[in-house]
Amino acid sequence: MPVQVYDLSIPPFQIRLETDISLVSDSIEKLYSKENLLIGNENQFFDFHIKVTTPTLYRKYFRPQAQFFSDGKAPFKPLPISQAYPFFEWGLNWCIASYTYQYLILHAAVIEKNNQAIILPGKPGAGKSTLCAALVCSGWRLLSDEMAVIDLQTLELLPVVRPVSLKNESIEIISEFAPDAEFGDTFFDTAKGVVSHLKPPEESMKNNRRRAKAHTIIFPQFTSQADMKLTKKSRAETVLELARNSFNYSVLGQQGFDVLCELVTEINCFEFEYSSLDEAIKQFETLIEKK
Amino acid sequence: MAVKYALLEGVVFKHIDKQFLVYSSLSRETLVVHEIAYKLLSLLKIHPRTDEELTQLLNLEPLKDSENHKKDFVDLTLEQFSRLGIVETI
Repeated sequence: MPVQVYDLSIPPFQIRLETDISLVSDSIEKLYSKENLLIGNENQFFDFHIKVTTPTLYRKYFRPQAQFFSDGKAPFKPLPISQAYPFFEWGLNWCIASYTYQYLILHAAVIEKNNQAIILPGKPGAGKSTLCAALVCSGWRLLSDEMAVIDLQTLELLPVVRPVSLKNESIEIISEFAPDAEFGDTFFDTAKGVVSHLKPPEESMKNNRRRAKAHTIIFPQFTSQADMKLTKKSRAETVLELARNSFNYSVLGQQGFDVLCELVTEINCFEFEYSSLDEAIKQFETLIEKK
Repeated sequence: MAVKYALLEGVVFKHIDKQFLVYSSLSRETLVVHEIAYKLLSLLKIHPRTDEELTQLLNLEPLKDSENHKKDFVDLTLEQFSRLGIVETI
């Protein structure tokens, strides 16, 4: 396949992606929308120059592999070519987490309704992405499935609207929960198991520059057959946990500490155990003020 | 001359609800500390002091213990804070 170049606008970032792997270009065309495509401009600035390509000619034909390049450097070992698209998404997460210092970035999903955003930090496997996907399929706006990007001055949350990465059982759960949801291809045997991406709803894409104010922080935990439980969490403990969940807190130093302390000051923080998505969504609706 | 303890540059602390947070720019540590430890830092913020001065100034009555144990408490706290890049000896 000839090299395809995608100039992607994923506010607040601009990315130039080059790839000669059809699995990548097919997924980009399926999962991103016209809002993401920049009209050609030779002098366009890009935050990240990414290439996803076969590492050598040999690896194009023998046990084909994909390699991820950021600004010409390969920070990771190559992966089987069948995982080329998730490799792009993971690599882009790494680029944003490693090189963005103008915002505080937390490992968390962010969804919003009535300009009231809920931050969902979570350890891997806690059910953060599943809950996030169910909420955006139920009318909440997606800001991000992977990272809460916080403006250091205004404390507003910036959207980084990208496909929601779902893993293993979550793929079937969300397919059944929202039969009309659009999914990309399914990728097997990745380091995270089976992976598929949910296309962000059109409404979220159209509003991919609209910031939101944090209203609540919820640490979700999916526990099979558990009764739903929403427990208040102390703000100080929340600061500690968010600091641990941040990609660049230690780089920002005191500024990061000040931002986290200010962020939690006027909002409620909870731990949330759930086993039913329907119940969880009803609970989320009660947390925000109707407008 | 008795050793004095001083707050390291870049240490900030905040009182949120009923809990006390400390951040050190040197060690990049964020901690939730006990109220007495927080008061100790507030005292050191004014100017450096010895462990004995700190023992006298802090309200350690809730510990209901001998004077030696109260001093041990302060010494242990100062030792931990030294290790975590929050205070230094001068």
